[in-house]
Amino acid sequence: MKLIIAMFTAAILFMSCVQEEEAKSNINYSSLKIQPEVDSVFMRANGESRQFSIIGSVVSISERTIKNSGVMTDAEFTVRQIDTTYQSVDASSVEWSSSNSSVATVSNGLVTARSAGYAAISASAGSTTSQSIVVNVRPVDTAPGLSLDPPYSVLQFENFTTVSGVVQQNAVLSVTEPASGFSNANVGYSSDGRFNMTVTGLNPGVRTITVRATHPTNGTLFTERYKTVAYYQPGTPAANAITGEWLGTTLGKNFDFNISNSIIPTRYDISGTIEIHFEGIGTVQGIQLTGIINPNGTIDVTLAKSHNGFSISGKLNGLFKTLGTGEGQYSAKAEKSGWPKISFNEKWTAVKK
Amino acid sequence: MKASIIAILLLLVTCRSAGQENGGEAPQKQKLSFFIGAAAGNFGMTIGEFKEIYSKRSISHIAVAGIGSKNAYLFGKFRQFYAHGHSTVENADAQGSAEWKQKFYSIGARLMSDDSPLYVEVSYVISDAEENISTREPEVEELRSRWEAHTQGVGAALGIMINFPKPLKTFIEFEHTSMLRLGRNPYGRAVPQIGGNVLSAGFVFIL
Repeated sequence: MKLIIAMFTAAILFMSCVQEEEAKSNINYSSLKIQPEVDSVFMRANGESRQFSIIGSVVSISERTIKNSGVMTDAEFTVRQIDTTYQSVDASSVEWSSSNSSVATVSNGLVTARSAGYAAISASAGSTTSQSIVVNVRPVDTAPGLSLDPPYSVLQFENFTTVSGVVQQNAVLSVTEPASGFSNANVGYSSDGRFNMTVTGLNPGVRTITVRATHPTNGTLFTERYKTVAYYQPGTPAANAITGEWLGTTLGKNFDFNISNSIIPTRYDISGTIEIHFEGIGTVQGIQLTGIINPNGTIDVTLAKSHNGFSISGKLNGLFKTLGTGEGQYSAKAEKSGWPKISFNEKWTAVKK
Repeated sequence: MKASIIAILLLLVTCRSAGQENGGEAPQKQKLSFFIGAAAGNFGMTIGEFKEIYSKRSISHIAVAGIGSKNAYLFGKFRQFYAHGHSTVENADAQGSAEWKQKFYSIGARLMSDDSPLYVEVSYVISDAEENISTREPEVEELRSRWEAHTQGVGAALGIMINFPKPLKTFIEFEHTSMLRLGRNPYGRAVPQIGGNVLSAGFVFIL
C-alpha cells in the first residue's frame, strides 16, 4: 500500500513538473527587456548583488473581416489588429547569461559582483534574447595609503613642528593635534602625493599629532599615522632634564658625552669623546665631540682629532626622541697627505645616565 | 434606347402582319387596333433575402403599347422598379444601406377573348438590374460596392380588362417573370435569378 501511495505521489510530482515546463515553453515573447532595480550599474567586487527584472512583449495579431452584403453585391475588407502588450516575466523562467562570469555571475536575475571589470548581462527565452546591460564592477574600497617621513617621535624645544609624508591620490588628508587645538581638515598635497604640513601652537608636553587620510567617498575608510612630539620650553626644569651625562653606543662600544645649557637660551651644548676604528689606521680614541642641540631637537656635532699625522674629522647627527633617549648617525674621515682618504659611517644610540 | 428599338420592332412586325392579312384571299374586316396604357403595381422579388434587405420598395411603374387585331396583339412593355433598404454589415459597428434599381423590357403576345374580359400574355424579357451598397459611415470606403446584372428571361401575365367609356379601359394584371440565373458574384456567392411577381392596375386606350 505504501508503495502504491509513493508511486502515486511521485507521478503527481512528475506531472506537475512537466506541466510547469510546458508553461515555460509556451511563452513566446517577441522581445525581452531587462533592467536593473536601480539606475546605476556600478557594483563593488565584494559580493554585492543586484536584482535585475525582466519584462517581455507579446505581439498578438488578430484579423477581422468586415463584410457588407446586399442581394447581389458584396463588399468586404480585412482589418488586421496588432496588439503589443508588455508583461513582467518570471526571472526564473528565462535563461540568464553573463559575458564574463569571473567579473559577475547571474542567476534568476540576481547579478553578483565577483571581481573588478565589465560583464554584459542578458536573458533569453526560446529564440528571443534581451538587450545586454553592462555592469561595471569596481574594486573593493580600501582605506587610502598613508606614510609619514621619520622621525615619528621627536624631542624639541620649539612649539611647532613639521609633518610630511606621502598619501594616496584622491584621499582627503587632515592633520590634528587635539590637545593643542590644532586642526587642518584639508591638507593639500602634490600630484605625487607628497605633503609637508607645519603644526603650530603646540602646548608643552608630549603631543600626538594625528595625520588621517580618508577615502574620498567612503568616510568609514581611513588610515591614520601619528607623530609624537615632546615639546619643552628650553630653560624650564622639564627641558633641563636633558642635561647631564649620557652614554652613547656604536658598534658595541660605548662613548660618553655631556649635555649642558648653552649660552643661547633656545639650545643645549654637547661635548664628549668617541673612539672610531679606521681600517689601516687602527682605533683612534678621544675624538672630540662638540656641538649643539637645535631647538627642533636635531643634533649638530663635529668630530675632530689629529692622530699620527692624520686629520680626523666628521659630523654626528641625530635627535633626541625623549629626554632620556637619542639616536642618529655619524660620519668620519681620516686624511693624511700621501694617504688615501678613509671614510667611516655608522649609527649611534644614547641613553641618559 | 432599348424601348425605342422594341417599339420599332413591334411596328415592323405588326405592319408585316397587316400586309399579309391584306394580301390574302378575301379581305376580312378585321380592324387593326392599337392600344397604349400605363399602370402601377407592387413588385415582389422571388429572392427570399430580398425582403430582408429592401424593406422600402417603391411602386413599380409600367408602360405598355401594342398593336394587333381583334383578339391578338403584339406588345412591348417597359417596367421599372426601385427599392431602398439596409445591407447586412458583419463584424463592424456600421449601418449599411442598399439601393436596388431594375428595369424590364418585354416584347410578347397578348391573347384576348371576345367572351371574357380575361387576357393572357407571354413575353420575352430582358432586364437590367443594378445594386449599390454602402454604409452610413463615409470613411468605410471599402464597404461600398456596385454590381450590375444584364439578363434575360420569360414572362407570363394574366389580366382582366374592365370596360370604361370608350376608348378607355382599365385592367388589373398579375405577371410573373423568370430570369436566367447569373452565376456568382466576384466574392463567389451564387446570385439568384432576379425575376419576380408584379400585381398592377392601370388604364389603357384602345384605338
